[in-house]
Amino acid sequence: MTPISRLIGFLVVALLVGAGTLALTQRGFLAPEDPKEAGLRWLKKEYRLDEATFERVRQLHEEYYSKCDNMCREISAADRPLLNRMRAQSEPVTDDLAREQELCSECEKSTETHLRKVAELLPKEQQQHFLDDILGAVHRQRVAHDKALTILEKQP
Amino acid sequence: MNPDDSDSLDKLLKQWVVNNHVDSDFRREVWQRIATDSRQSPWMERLAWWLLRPKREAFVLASVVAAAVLWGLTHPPQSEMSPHDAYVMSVSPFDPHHIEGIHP
Repeated sequence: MTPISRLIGFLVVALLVGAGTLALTQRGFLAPEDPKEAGLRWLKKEYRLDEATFERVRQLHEEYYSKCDNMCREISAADRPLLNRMRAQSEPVTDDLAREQELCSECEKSTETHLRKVAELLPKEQQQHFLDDILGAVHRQRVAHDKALTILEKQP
Repeated sequence: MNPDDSDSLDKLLKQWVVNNHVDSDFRREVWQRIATDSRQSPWMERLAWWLLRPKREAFVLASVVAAAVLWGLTHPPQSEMSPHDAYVMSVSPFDPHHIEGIHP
């Protein structure tokens, strides 16, 4: 084996050891970034919020997330057994669907109220842009969600 | 072959003296050539000769591991979704990953 081929082999091994160590360090010791934190950081940067405004925005979000936790627990309790039963095709689900739709409407209302409160804290010229962007996305997701439920409901 | 020719050849061979003395200039020239050749060898080959010693190899590997750990600890893995999508996911109850992502 020539010295150059030994050198290339050694460098390849060193590269693999480095890549493996990096992957282990990142995946093994660090949790992925919390989406809530990543989202809030995006909001601060995108709308160029000063510290005081950002603190108020954060406070609003913490209150919302707390409320959201409770509603998600209710949805988890209602939605998943509902979907499971629908998939198992064991019994009629009309009442459960009605309850789920009710919960979804409550969630949507709560989200819309929250986003409008957040928009009020943003610079005036950006408020509408924020609502069009985020509230628009929520509405589109609601439509897709309802469509999926309708398809499930129609399944024999 | 004529016997006279053989005698004259013998005489000639007897007169021949082997000169095994090497001129000092010749030696200098040889060393200069060796030095020039080693200077002109490819840099990778010289690097290989320098680096491929057990202690140096171990040092390089240890440095690579330390650098990877340092880089990994200071650069947390990025979420697969964009920060915008992470925000939408965190606030929208209709996002497909809302419950799993926010309330795992």
